[in-house]
Amino acid sequence: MSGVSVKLNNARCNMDCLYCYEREYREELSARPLNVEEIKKVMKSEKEQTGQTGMYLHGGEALAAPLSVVEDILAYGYELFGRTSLQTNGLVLTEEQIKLFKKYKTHVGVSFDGPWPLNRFRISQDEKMSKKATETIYNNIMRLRANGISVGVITVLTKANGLPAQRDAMKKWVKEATEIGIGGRLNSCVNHGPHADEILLTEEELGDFYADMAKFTLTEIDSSSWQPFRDIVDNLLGLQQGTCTFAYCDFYHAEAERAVLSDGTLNGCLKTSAETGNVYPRHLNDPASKQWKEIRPKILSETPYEYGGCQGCKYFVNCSGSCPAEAIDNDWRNRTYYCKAYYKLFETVEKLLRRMLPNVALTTDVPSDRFKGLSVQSGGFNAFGAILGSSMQSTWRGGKSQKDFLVDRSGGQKQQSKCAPGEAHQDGGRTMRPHGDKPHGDHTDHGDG
Amino acid sequence: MKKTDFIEGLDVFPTTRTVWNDKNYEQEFAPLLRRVAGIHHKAEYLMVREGVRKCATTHLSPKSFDQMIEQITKDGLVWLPIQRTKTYGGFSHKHFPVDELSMDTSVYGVLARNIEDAEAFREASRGDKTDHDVLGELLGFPPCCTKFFNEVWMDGFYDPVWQSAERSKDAQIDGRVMKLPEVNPYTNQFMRYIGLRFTSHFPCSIECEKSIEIGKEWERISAMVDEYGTQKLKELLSLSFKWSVNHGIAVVETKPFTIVANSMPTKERWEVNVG
Repeated sequence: MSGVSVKLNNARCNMDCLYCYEREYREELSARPLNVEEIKKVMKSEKEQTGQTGMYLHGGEALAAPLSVVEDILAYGYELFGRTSLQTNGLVLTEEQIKLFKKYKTHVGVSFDGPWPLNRFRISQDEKMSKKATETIYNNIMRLRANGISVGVITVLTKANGLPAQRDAMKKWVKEATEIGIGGRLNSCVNHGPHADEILLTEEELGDFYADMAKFTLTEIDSSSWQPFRDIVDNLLGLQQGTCTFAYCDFYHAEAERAVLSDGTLNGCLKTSAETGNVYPRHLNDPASKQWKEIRPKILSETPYEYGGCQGCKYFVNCSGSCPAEAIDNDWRNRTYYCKAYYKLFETVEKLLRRMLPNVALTTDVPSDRFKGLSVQSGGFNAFGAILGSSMQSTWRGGKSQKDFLVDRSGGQKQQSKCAPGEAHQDGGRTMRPHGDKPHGDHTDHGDG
Repeated sequence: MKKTDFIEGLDVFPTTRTVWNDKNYEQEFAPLLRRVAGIHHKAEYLMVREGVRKCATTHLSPKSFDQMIEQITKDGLVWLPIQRTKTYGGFSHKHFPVDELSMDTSVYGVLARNIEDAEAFREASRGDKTDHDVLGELLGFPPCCTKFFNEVWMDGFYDPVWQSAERSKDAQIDGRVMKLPEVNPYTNQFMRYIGLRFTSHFPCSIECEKSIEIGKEWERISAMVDEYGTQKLKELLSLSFKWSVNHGIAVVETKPFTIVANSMPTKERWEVNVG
């Protein structure tokens, strides 16, 4: 969902998660005053001037704000967009809040790394308190669902929940959540702090997790709502780039999160503030930002792997070097330090798609220069074009793979698709989303329930 | 830093950007930077008119050539064209030659007090016969800095701030990371991507005495353009900062703002910490 991220409490929070990227600037950022009218002005401007279709409360901890303020903003969001959303740590949940969620059709995203001990890096370093809080959050998730509230979870993958020894417990939780209508995102962890070695999975460990869980969520459970796996399917098929992790990002104007602070200040994704504490202001429409979004993919595509780049990578168009806030050495000019993990994720999903649909074309079947904008949506790509254009119309019959088709008849795809590179596809009346309007990866979408 | 530290073929197009590190800094510094960044260009003209330098390089744009020609003529100066070039936004170490002039082009040329100096400059600028010693002398560069330019810039290090800094006696270098207690504002070229500089030449060292003398001349002439702005320019050039270059992009981080610009295509990050 594209939407405005409203930070009523800025980075203030009633928890102290070990890996939180907001630790660096929490105190300074949270000193800002609250100006509800300014926030509303921004919400309205974002809808009218940048076409945002929703809003979500984010933090810090969104629900630590006074209930009357939360209601005021949710009511206004509902008036503007017809639905609302928020991201919470789920530690405190009152009946009054649940009433608000019902009234304003609020989707609730809960930050939860799984039942104890998977969640042990959340809360604090006090294990007893963390365990008790984890149980509270788990129970609150169940309460929300029991009340018919749409719920998603954001899970941050660390050494507490992403290692092989924890896999069965994680799968059990994902299956249980799925069965009660919960989906969510299994996100990599961004952390450059003093505990990073203790917390962060290696790229090999994360790759092992993603490969295993991709197979699990795409083939073993009845789920269509766990990310990044579904995003990767769409991405490889050339339908959508997916979550912001794999999209172009201007580090200094990271508008995948269109955040507004408590005083009405506009800023982007605060992951980019994790090291310096700088809160780079965002402008509603910054013409320079498009050019700057393209610079990182350009330099990475021309920089060899051994020097922190992505030159020659099969999945470069799909991944774009990934989130600049998780770049090697915390330098956005490098690719992600989780490169091998994402490579393995794309590779695993690609294999699944090819086994299921051997005649389908994937974005990896064509040269990357086909995608002029260096994103999967820029190439006028039609994964099913050759299947539908052949007399056989089969995902497997015919013996010739779509890849052969593409090699044998260069330009064949172009004849199937009437779109020029960079233009939006018109596919069954559906218009592709323009670039720069990616779902933000630190917030779960509507529709998960 | 050696040429083998570069990624072959990576060339980022000219681009420069100022990022505010907080909204409050934007409100405080944006008007100031706009004011200060325009001083150098005007001072460069005055350096010739006031007889401090024999020549200066300047671009005439089709958008404003009429005003420029009038000013040059009234001031009794001369200007000769050298190269038609495409207009670019930001920082560039080279021209982008074009045959035809249009509104997105300009003409690079030499401004001088007399036609002899202008001709000499143009002659020394011709293609593969470029004579940087002559150009340096006409532009008023210290011979040591012209020599530095010939050695370093001509060897492909077209953004040689690292090279200029590493010659400082106070530089502490650990691999690709350098620490400096301070940089003299008159020799500080780390922020020139957005026009913050005194001298137009690259000092052979941030401690170059000749460059500091010339920098003071620039300060005097700049004050004729904007006294308050010149004082602020000196303050900005005295800020603590961290400069780094990686994969063709330089980033200069100060407390209130961050400058991002195209630079040398290093394979790895090189960093200079000042203050």
